[in-house]
Amino acid sequence: MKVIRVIATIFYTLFFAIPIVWLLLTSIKSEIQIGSRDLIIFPDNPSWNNYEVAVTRSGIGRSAFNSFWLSAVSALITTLVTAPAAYLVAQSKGLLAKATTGWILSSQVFPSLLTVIPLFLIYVKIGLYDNYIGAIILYVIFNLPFALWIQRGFIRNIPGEIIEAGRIDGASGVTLLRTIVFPLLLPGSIVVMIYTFINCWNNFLIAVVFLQGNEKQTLTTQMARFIGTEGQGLLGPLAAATVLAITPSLILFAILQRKFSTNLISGSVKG
Amino acid sequence: MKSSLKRGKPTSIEAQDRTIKLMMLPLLLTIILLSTLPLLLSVFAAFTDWSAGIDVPINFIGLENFRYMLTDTQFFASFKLGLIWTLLVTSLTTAMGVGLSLLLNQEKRYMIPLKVIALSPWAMSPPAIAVIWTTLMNPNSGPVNQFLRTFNLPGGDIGFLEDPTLFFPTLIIIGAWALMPMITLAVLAALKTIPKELEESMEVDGANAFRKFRYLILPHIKPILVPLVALNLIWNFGAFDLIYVIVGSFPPPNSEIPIVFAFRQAFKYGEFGYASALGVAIAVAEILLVMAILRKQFKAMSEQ
Repeated sequence: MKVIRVIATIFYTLFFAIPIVWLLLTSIKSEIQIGSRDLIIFPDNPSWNNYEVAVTRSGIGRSAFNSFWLSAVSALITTLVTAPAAYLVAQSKGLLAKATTGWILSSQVFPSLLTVIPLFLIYVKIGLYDNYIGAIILYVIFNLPFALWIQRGFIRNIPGEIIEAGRIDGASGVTLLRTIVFPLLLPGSIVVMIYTFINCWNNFLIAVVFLQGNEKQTLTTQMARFIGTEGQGLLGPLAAATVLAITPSLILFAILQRKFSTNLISGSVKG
Repeated sequence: MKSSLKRGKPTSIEAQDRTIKLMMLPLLLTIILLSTLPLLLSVFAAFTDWSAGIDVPINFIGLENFRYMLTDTQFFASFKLGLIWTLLVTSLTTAMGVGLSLLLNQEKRYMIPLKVIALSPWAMSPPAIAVIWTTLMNPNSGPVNQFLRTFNLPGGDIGFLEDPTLFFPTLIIIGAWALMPMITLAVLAALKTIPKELEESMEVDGANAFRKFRYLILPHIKPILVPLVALNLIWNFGAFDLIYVIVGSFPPPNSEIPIVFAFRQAFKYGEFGYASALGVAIAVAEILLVMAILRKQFKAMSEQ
């Protein structure tokens, strides 16, 4: 049994590590070393040149900036609307709760492409196509079902008396949100915000369909442009760009991991 | 006036919630306009000849798109490919993910590096994963081909992502790499709920690893595993980004899974009506897949 365990550990480690390690190595190799048909594992003279090229040329820097601010704004909006929405859904026993569950489910079952086609035509009609605001709205709408699902898992763990206490206080709706709902849902909100940020940062579909202009590209669409024939001579800078692209989301994911995995389960068991 | 009566008094429960509801109204309208309406529109569009162009009339053509679908050999090829892809990648990720989570559940300190690295693909974008694997599989400079060449093994000069027969198996391996973290995370969390005493008492009774897995671990993770597999079937059948990014650069013949096929019908050829019909067919196929899985589960539950 122990032998199997050791073999399995080695196998999984190699399977997951080799692609990532190779990416890191490629990102510090020169163009000649990358093009060589001989097996070069560690380059003799590692250089940061690829990172410099990736950031300054090839539009990666610009697109990374777009990705960052679009993701940050979308994550913030998603978090701000999810808490009160989850609160309302939790209060409701009737139509709203059922409709929300139905919406969350259908958002998982129906391929997002199905909505993307009519959305594209609606967006062209109302002038939100190739528009940052239009993209942000879609980032929020696409992330909202899962955000609500996460937040619902958190709100279930809050004793009802705490919310009732806030009501008896005679607070206005706004005060209730400010003093009870948002503070109590803070842990869930942090999870929602990190999760949504990673999701937007990594999103490809919305950006590729709804953002057309060269200056509006996000990191994912800009990188996709260089994959394949167009990027044959750019493997080094592309690898460097990929390292830069995955680093922020990996850091956030590490922060998120513990909280997320436990709540994912509590949400699915209770929901 | 109702509101004037309440002035000065503590705001009532209804009034509190009404304020919040009013604040949420724009959100609800946005959801209806940009999520519900497009879904309904696309189902409607599946029965029209909607195509790209200015002032092209849209006609209701009944089941014509679906009739055409039945004669479209490309559609059948892509649907078959989609089914094979979904079943293979889902079973591979599930089996490997359960194995991995059993390893990681030992909570040994030396397992932490593996945990970190094996969960990391979850946080990567499809283009990033595509770069990682196209770099790895580059027939000229990639380590896989170089390894094969160094030891004079067959396949040293084959581009695994370009070869028509090897492309698809390679894609499934990439899929397993990219999709395993999600299953591993969920199963790992489920494993944590198994009481340590139960495990120990089974060990005292002399149960071997297989029996322990069959009679303790599997029943425990099943409630998580079954919906997880169902969700993964849906996601994988509807998978778009990763394959689109990889296929987009190396399109071997008949390599389009259904969503990619539909996407090109819409955004390359402007056939919105037909693409919508394809989308509806994909959704129906997903629902059938999930029902097949869940029916098995219901059966198993009633037999227990």
